[in-house]
Amino acid sequence: MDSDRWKQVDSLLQAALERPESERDKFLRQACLGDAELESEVRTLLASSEEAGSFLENPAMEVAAQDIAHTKNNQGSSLKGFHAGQVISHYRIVDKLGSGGMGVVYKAEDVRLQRMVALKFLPDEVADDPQALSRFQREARAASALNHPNICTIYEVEEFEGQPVIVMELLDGQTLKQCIRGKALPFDELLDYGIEMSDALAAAHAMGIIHRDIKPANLFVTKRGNSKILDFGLAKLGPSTDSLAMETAAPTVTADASLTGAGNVLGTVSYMSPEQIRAKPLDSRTDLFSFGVVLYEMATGRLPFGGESSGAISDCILNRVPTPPTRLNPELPAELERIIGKCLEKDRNLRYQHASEIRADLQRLQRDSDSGRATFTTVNSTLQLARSSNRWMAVVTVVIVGLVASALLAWRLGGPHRSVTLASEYIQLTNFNDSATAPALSSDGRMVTFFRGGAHFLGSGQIYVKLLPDGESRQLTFDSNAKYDPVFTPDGSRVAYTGVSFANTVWETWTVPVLGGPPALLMANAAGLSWIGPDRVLFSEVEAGTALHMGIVTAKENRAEERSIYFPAHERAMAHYSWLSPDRNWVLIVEMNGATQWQRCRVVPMDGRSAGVEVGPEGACAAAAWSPDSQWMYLNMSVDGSSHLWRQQWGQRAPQGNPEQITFGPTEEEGLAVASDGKSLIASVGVRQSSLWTHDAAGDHAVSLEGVAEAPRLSPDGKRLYYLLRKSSSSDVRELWRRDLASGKSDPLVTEQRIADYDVSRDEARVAFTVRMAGESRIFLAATDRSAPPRLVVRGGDLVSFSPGQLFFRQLGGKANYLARVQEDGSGLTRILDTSVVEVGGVSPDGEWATAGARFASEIGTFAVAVRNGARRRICAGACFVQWSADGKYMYVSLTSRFSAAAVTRKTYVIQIPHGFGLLDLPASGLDRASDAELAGIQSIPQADVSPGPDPQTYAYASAAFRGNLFRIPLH
Amino acid sequence: MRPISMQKAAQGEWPCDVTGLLRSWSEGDQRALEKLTPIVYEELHRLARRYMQHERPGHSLQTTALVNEAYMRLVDYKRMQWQNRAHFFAVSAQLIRRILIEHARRRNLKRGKGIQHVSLEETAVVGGKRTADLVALDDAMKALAQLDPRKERVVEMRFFGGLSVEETAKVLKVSPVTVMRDWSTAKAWLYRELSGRKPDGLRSLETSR
Repeated sequence: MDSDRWKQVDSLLQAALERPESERDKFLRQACLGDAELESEVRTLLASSEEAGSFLENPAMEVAAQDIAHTKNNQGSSLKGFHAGQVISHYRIVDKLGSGGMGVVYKAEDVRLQRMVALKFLPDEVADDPQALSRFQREARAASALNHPNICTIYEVEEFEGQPVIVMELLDGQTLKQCIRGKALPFDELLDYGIEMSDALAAAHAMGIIHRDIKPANLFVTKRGNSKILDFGLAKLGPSTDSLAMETAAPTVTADASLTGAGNVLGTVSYMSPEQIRAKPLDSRTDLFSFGVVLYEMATGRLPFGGESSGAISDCILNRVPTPPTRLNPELPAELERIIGKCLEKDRNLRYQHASEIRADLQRLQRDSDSGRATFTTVNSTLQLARSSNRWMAVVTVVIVGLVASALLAWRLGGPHRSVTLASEYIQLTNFNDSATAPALSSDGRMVTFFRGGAHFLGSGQIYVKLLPDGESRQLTFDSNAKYDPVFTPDGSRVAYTGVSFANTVWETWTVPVLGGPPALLMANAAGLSWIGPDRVLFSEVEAGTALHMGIVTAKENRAEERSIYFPAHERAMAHYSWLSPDRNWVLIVEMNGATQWQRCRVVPMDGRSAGVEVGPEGACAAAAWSPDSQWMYLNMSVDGSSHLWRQQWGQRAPQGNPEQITFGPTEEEGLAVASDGKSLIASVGVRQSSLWTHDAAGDHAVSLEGVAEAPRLSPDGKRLYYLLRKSSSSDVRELWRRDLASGKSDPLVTEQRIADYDVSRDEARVAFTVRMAGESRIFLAATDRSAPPRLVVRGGDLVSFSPGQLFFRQLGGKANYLARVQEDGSGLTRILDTSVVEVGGVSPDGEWATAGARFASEIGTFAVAVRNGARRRICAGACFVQWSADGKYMYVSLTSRFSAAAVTRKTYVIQIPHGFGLLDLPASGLDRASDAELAGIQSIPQADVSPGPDPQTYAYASAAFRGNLFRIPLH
Repeated sequence: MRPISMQKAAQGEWPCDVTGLLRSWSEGDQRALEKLTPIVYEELHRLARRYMQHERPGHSLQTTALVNEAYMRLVDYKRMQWQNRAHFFAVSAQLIRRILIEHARRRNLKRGKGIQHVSLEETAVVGGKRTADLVALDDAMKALAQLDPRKERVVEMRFFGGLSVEETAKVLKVSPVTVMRDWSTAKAWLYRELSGRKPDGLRSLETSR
């Protein structure tokens, strides 16, 4: 039909439909003017229209969903019809055992092998989704390889009429969930099951299989008293855990209606590990945490982390220490409490590292209690304080560390001590007025090579060498390429270093003779190189075909026999440095994640069989070294913005004990090398300095100031600069000053205070600032004309920002922090969000949006929150600092947290906001994870935490530099 | 400066991602479709589960609410700014169509294999419970697009996208009256096409209330 003809049909049909039914016939006859074909066309359509009824009137989602529901209902009734004797493939159905979120289970006889089995049909969600299905098949096949008396064996994975079926061992008994039912199990049963199940977990983990959903409903106790772990490999199924990794119908359980709906999700959350809740990549240690929850429940009949909602439970798992089990069940031995506590460590590095360790501890407990030697206790003992990631706890930790430091100092004055290092014993090796960092020793320990000038990593400094102890420092390189990481060749005749030309981002390893001479290229695409044999090197390489995916490899110097050891999972992540342990089994690694943030240190096996484990405290790892006996790892880590040396014991396969900070004080350390006798290390010790800069169309301008200036803020017109000033780097008094940029005249606004952060009102008449005093953060308001003394606005708050008539701030609670606001007179304090927050950023000038780093169930990141109704929008997936220009036309997003020195990313996005609209939609992945395409067209400034000026070209920023020299630090 | 869409972050956990994925998909990223498919499937099965729990006659209000909720969870239409909403309406309707059709194809295939399923279908049809044949509808819509592309888009948006007449009108930049007319003609044409093509005349897209 041509288009004109169709238009005719269409309009005639419409005209007919507009008429009462009785008139339609007559109308068509007249209107079609005897064109029979036309008339027939319109008439059949008219008839169809009258017949169509509800055709297409219900949305397609409803049609499809009802179709599924309908089929399922029928399927349900048909499956009931799987009566005894019915044969599916070579299985004869005997009975229906149960159904649940993970499908329907039948008892059946394998006709060929003449044994009884359980058949589990998976739910449609899995069966319908090809990806989920293939993932399931992969996992289930891996799990079917597990052969352990305490793991329910999977015989086969089959497909029956397009429906995946698992054929598995038929069990007779009940789930642990049914055994517990709110009551503690007898102690000897608990030990039996605990030992069996930890042994089963150890076997599975050894094969690289993680359960991910250990909970009593997945643990089974047979009539003969043996425990079995069910459903290995099934928990990973499906688009999300809450819809699929649900209660599993155990083979002998009959259908249980309560196993559906929200209760499932709650049940699942209660056993999740903190890393699972945070949606981090999981390793086998997640099972150990969940197993700890099960042990706790077996011991007390109660869950360690309770709550009304999954959110409340998650919060408990992340932040709370459970009630000590002995308080709930005084008959428990203290040792069991210790074991449970070690399973429930929130930091997985502090947890048991292997299921076999739990088994051994439980077995020892069993032996001791059999011989009556177990110490039973009724006194209050506490669980090991689990490390909380909560920022407040971090603050407390820092305070504690500070106290420890002063205690050590007092001890030292008073008599014998056991501290690892003593500042009084440091021996200065270099004496530069800028910086010497990244020391490396020659194999005979007589020479040190280092990096001098500016930031070490990709810095503009040069490579030096020095004969110890008091030889002259000699400069070896003179070119302008960025370089880092000098090391000696095995014979000590040359120094190798990484050179990077930014023009084409090529990472190369060069060598230069220690006696001086031209550099020579050693290897292309090789960084952070070191020798691990006369002819063999360990280095970082950018994976072919990728932009910046850098991992650790080993090869001969001529690149023969190359073998990869570790590549980070993220395709933008980079492993930059590596150190082989002296026993040649392990490699310590320093890496950046996909958002170019330094991560914790990592240890991976030299044979590359696994991605290893993270070690050291929570923080950013900059450098590391092994003790000569491979027993200790020395780590240079920035924790809470302060870079120091730490150490932790390495126990073959996993770190042992807690990381221990070994250097303290206002000075910081950058880079380290351990002497070959293990009795001392060489590190760069110094202070970080900060200078202020302004930027305008003409370029960058240094603002010359006395002392250490930080936290610059530009006035809305760009003519005045506010900043915090410390008279010296060791002083913690931080004053607020204002400088008139044209005249260069500076005035103090608030003096003699330890100001942590501040904000200036838009009219510049008032400043709000946070001071920490008497163990509490307080927010004050002061007039910039100093007409009156500062006035206290609120206690227990920091990170303050002005909005019209109000102050927004972070309310510091004992256990959690909140985004809150208060009138300038201190009245009307309200929380904007019920959810706790991590950090708090800026507020839009219209007062409509506040910003905070927070977690909402599984959604984590930095959010803009609508002040009126709490609606939120994610800006970054990680920590970033968000603020607005004074006129509200631009939003500035800095890819760093407000006070984190750990991030190397120096970037601020400037995003224009259309007129009349408070906020934009941003890349769903978060600005910090967005692809280049998503960021195309967004302006960026190569500085972190810039202070906006009147236009995007005008801003102020602080530049921090490290000034330090090499010291030898004896170890005790 | 790049235009940035103005979708409001929804209250749920992942609609933000859906928006981003929709955008990627509309820009030709096929991997986005792979990620979107399970999300739509999950919504579909969630809806189906709730039908199974609540299936009782006379609950049409609740049914409507459930469906609206499902659409809202997929794409938070209501909170979008108009200019970009139009684009997302179009893209998401297209997406839901594509995924549901693929789903229906797979189900049809599966039914073809299992004798039981087929007999169940027949019982259902004989018993007056007419079930959807989305695949045939999809084919018919493609034929309609040859004849009158706008009418096909109206069906795509209203039926697959779950949009109201007013919303469809705004997306297509025509009056609501025009959408109503397009809708009634398209429905009649598709109905005739489907019932004509299937001589038994029973398979239709009418759903039981």
